[in-house]
Amino acid sequence: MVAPRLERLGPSLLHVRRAGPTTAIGLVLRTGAEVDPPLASFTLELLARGRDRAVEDALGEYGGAIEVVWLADGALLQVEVEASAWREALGLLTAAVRSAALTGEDVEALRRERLAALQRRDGDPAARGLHLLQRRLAPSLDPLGEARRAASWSIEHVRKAQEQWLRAARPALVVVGEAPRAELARAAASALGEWPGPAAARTLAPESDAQEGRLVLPVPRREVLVVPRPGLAQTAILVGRTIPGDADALALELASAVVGSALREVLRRDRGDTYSVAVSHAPARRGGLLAIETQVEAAATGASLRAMFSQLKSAQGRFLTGDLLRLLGRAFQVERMLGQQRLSAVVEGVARLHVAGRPDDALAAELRRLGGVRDDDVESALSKWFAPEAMQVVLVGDPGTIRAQVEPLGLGPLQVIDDAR
Amino acid sequence: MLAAVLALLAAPVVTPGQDAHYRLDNGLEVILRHDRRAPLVAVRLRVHAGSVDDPRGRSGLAHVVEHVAHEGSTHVDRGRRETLEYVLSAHANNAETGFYSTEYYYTAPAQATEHVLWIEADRLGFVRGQHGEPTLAGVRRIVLNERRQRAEQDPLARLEIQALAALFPAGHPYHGAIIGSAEDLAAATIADVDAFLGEHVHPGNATLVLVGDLPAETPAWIERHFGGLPAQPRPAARTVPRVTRPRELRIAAEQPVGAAPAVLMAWPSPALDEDGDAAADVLAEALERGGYVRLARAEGPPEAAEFQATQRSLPHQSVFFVRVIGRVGGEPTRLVAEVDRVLSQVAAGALAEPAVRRARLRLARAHRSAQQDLQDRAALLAAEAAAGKRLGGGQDVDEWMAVTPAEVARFAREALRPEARVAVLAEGER
Repeated sequence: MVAPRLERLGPSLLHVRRAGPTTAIGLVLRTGAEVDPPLASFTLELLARGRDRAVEDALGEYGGAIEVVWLADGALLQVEVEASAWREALGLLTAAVRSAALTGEDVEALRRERLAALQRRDGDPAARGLHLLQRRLAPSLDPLGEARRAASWSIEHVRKAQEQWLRAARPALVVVGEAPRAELARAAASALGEWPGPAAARTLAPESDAQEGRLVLPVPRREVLVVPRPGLAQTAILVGRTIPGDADALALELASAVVGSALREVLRRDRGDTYSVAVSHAPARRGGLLAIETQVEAAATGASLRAMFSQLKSAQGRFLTGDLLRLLGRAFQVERMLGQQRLSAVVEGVARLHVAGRPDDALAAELRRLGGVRDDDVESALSKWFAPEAMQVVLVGDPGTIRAQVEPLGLGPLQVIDDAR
Repeated sequence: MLAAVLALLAAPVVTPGQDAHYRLDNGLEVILRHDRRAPLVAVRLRVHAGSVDDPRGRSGLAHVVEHVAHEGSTHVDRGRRETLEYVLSAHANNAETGFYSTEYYYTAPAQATEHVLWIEADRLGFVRGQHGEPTLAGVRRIVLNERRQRAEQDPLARLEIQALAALFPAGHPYHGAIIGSAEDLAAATIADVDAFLGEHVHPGNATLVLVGDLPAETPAWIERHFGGLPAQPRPAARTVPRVTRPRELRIAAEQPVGAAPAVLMAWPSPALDEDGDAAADVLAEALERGGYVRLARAEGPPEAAEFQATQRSLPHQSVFFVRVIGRVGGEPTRLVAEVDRVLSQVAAGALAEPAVRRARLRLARAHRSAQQDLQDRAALLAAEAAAGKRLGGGQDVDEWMAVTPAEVARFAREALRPEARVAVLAEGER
């Protein structure tokens, strides 16, 4: 098995050597609890674009298109360019965040796009349901926010958010490509040399990871949230819970695969109620999100939910044999390799481990650990994180159908969330 | 060039460890590319049959066949295949149906190569006659749920289906959605499925692509598992008539897409690799990356909050889509007027060389980046072979890099005339 070999070339430069005609570069910024994710991500998108799209145009000359990736505990500005242009791209990327030349017109133009993106998100029942779950359980994962707030941002809000980014912990650069090491180290030192940074220097690894991880406690379900969409032929079902930042993410990933497989077998194959079921875990130090998502025939909403909760219950204490776990672990090793083929995916993977304060060899260590995962880790993850009574429920669909089918299940009182208000 | 390709195809002498492009005696086209960056192999079986081959009254049949093929074949029933996938760590697999092809693909550890070839060979040769109405009934439920999820629940996806249904008349192969209508899906029988398999799914109508850390035995395994499948002539290509519109057609969306209005426009455009196809790609990229908003704001704040353009390149005839989402309180007719103003400026040459150059460079770089993924590279090779292009991605890049501002303007002038399109207008929710 092969993991990207990460080299640290100086305090803020992480490099993965990959031959090829392009180079991918990422600028990784950390966030703290003071950051408002939707405004912070909006600001970064503005900075990445530049005044009247000047940064975007300049990177376009090297074949690049800058992308902002929200990481919950930070953010990544990423661009992939022709390999010969790595120096120019690195300079443009770092200068973009420090630039203060944005105008009210820039804010207005991006605001219009943000509002359209929110409309697209909320028009999709599954995306609307996931957003509601995020807002309730893991708000640091939500970079888009809500239209009402986006409508209120001014250039002053943006400038303050930019200042927060500049005063946060010193950023890191991640470069995946063939740039010569010494030259790369010089370019990175020069680009980040006069970064404003915090008043008192912060170490790269967050000091309070474990403490932050304990901030989020499991909340018993009190109600079922319903977003009404009259006449919808399917009901989007989102079931999930908060996951503390110090949870064993690897065991949780394997446990999610076990649950996902069981749910697909029952809901898609046996019952024919759905086309797909997805189980995902988005980690975050201040509280990540475990989410199960499916869209079922409206007429089967109640029966699908009952089947889902029955599966979650039977997953508790599920006995997994060593052979089964070895195969599962190997499948995930292959999946890791598949997911790290693209340079941009490697940049994002390295950025995620950096903002999580994990060591530089975490990608390789994780790959090794997947090969020898223990049954009690997975079984413990199943019982700890998939307990039905702690799962919050969001339903997006026809309100009459939902009321008639879901109330008798006794999952809790239905609380209608009216998007029109 | 053509002679060289034909010579290659006629000489199935494959040296282990070397890249190759050849045909088996039964007509199966094979492409092998060695790439040892990771111990993985991407296997892609492209059957040259898609929704354009759906019989009249059976829209969605090609896609149903894809699902039935997933249910197992004579020697590899579904349970056996799933067990093998588990044991071989070959979970990264899927299938997709397009207008012109159905593709089945795996990316797996290199040591799984022979088993994956065996699974795909059985899928190519031994699905017909294996399933009855109960299997089809199960597949139909899943496909109807897929249709609801992808084509009915998403209001923006519905705009596109409405546009295609209006642009291409009933009976035209591009009319409606690849996934088919609910009525036709309900009417499909297992005899329809078997007839489709018999006519279209066989070695003479397929291309097998392998990219990755290919074991030296790969050519021998391909011969062993696929070579025995019977030869059949390639079916006659379905006629796909070109459509032109004498006047604009505006239709109202079936439902709003949200609080703000939206418009989707669709124009018939030059076919894949025809003159104008590359210019359409460059124009779409340039307009999306600031070109549209810069031209639109010349007369005040733009009506469009979000602009998206796509050239969907297809053999016979392509479709150029423009989608705009407006502001709350705006009118869809004002969005249409703004798009027309911008496109008339483009037609007059307003998109200058810097914007066109950046679009060319981005397309070329993105194309190179896509080849980092073994399966994406396999998909590209299969598509190039189907289009008769030289393999390796160079032809598309050459075509994009040759596009000039004058060609972009000419494409806009000739193809993107208001009278030539269908526009679907969605009012904002009140």
